[in-house]
Amino acid sequence: MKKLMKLVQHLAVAILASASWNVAFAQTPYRIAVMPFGMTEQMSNWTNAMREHPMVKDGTVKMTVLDGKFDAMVQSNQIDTAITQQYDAIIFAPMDYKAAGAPIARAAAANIPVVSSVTRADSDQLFAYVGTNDTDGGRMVTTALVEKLKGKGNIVLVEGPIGNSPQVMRRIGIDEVLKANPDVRLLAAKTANWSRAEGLAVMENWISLYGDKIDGVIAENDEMALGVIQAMRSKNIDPATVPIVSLDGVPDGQRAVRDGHLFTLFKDPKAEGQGAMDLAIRSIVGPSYQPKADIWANGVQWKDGTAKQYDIPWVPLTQANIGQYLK
Amino acid sequence: MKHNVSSGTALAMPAGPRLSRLGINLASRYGIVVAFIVLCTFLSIANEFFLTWGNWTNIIRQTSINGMLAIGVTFVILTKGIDLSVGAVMALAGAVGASLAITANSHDIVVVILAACAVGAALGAVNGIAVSKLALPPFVVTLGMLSVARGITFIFTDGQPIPNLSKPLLWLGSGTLLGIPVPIVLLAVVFGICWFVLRHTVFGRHIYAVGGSERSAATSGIKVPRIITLAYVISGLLAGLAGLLLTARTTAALPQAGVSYELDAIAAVVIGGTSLSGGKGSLVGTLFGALIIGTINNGLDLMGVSSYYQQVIKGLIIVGAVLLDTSRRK
Repeated sequence: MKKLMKLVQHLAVAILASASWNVAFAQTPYRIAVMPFGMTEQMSNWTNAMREHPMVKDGTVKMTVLDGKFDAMVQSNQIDTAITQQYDAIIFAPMDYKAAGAPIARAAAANIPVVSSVTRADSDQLFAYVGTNDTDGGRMVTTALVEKLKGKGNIVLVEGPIGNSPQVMRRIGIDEVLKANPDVRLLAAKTANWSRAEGLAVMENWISLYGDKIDGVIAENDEMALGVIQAMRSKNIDPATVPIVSLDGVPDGQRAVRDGHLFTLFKDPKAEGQGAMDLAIRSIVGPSYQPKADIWANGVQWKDGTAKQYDIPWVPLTQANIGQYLK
Repeated sequence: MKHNVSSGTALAMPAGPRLSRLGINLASRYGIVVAFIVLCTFLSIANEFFLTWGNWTNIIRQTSINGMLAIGVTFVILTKGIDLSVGAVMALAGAVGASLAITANSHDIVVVILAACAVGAALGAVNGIAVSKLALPPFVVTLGMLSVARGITFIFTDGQPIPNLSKPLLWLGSGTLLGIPVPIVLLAVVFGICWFVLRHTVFGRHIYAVGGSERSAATSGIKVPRIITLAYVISGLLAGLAGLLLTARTTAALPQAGVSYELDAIAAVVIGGTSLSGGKGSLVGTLFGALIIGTINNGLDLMGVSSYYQQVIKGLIIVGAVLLDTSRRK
């Protein structure tokens, strides 16, 4: 009996201890569930940016982060939880484009507005989408690479998890530009699941297979591009001699830009996160709400919060402007 | 009255600590239920929505997939084996089922279900034969199957999700039968059948016997390789069904579905009191183990506890449960 009581005691302490870290000091009006698809660096920055939003800081909004653990099933369950818990709004970054449709429909049926951000969902019941336009991003980097190669050459493409919306969208943009430039030939395309380690492995194999024939690389995100750079170094290829382009502009990617190894597009997690928070609050409060994030003063139109899609602009990062971004 | 088939070796009970041994025995039989009730009490105090019908339907529905996996894995663990491949088998079976249920050319739902179960059972049979006939360690065999099945899933789906599922398949995931969500009904049916088989059939008794001592079982005429193989077949079959259910709930078969699900399944079995050294355990325990995990996932999400803390807590509970089991066996 003693051992059982001890077990129960430890369990109780653990639960209470962890609960007290996260429960807000006072009851607040707006409860918003924030659902990242998994805790990558980008997603961490995104949720942290939301915590810095003025209305979250002053307690008007109580946000709860529900980590999707890279699993569409977990996210579906978490939306059910948010519905039972009667949250006022949901900010959703879906793991899988298709699988997100049904959970969003359930939330809509329960009259809970859903704002999606960063990744997209196959649903017409969203209150709004706030994020960079991934198709545009794919086009921009591919155009940049084609220019660097002067319209001719062989390239390889490292992709995100197949079916994850940034992968799908970025690929559409990439394919568009490649189609218009037939002298730039795609030798191979493979997924490295947004991971640096996988990008390294995939590139090492391609170097063994294609060697000198690779004139340029497109990586759908910085992490994989960094793996590509490491692979080149390990095979004694100077990364500065083979143009590499990617997207996201995370700090390590920025360092690579500064060192001349990478061209990337900066995706501002603060803009996406706080923009999404503004739209979520707008969906609760109504037309009288005045948005607080910086982006609305910096080129993105608020449109009274009624538009369905808000494109956050990509910022190309080169050695010329990297100083403004890298601290 | 729960009946535990104990292992062949009997221990002489020391006179002094008899009461504490009794306590440990009670704790290991009913402790899981008490722990569950205590957990629920705390969570219902901490959160106003915890005890609502809607929330409980969520918990049980969310537990149904892990519960099904855990029930299958219980059979294997009872024979002193382990099955690390259930997550990957889920994904493959779900993908195969989905491919037969794409709206444009969908087969009868019964065919779809049978196909998913058949895929699972076949992979389970491979595991079982490797363990029983080739005498390979279950850990290694099922680890290999985990990789192989996952790879085949990616090959089969070409790395792409399979969406646009037929209405009957989607109903499996989101429909209701007499007001109860279908996944919960499925879990109840699976649990009912498996409980009966394990408790009240000769096969069930043989599972416990083999797990307690293979040698004694063989000596008393039990066909040990067949029993072991069947345990893995059951595990695979239930993984197949769970995989189809996962596909139905997610409305698309994803090749990366079920990654690491075997860990939660094994955790449920262990927390539920089934011994990793075979021969002791019950499905009721497994069910409560799965419920505890499901409740922890749900309850801690409700309280906004970060997923990092949740993982630590889960790990502590698993270790606690195994400690309880080890101390009982001493």
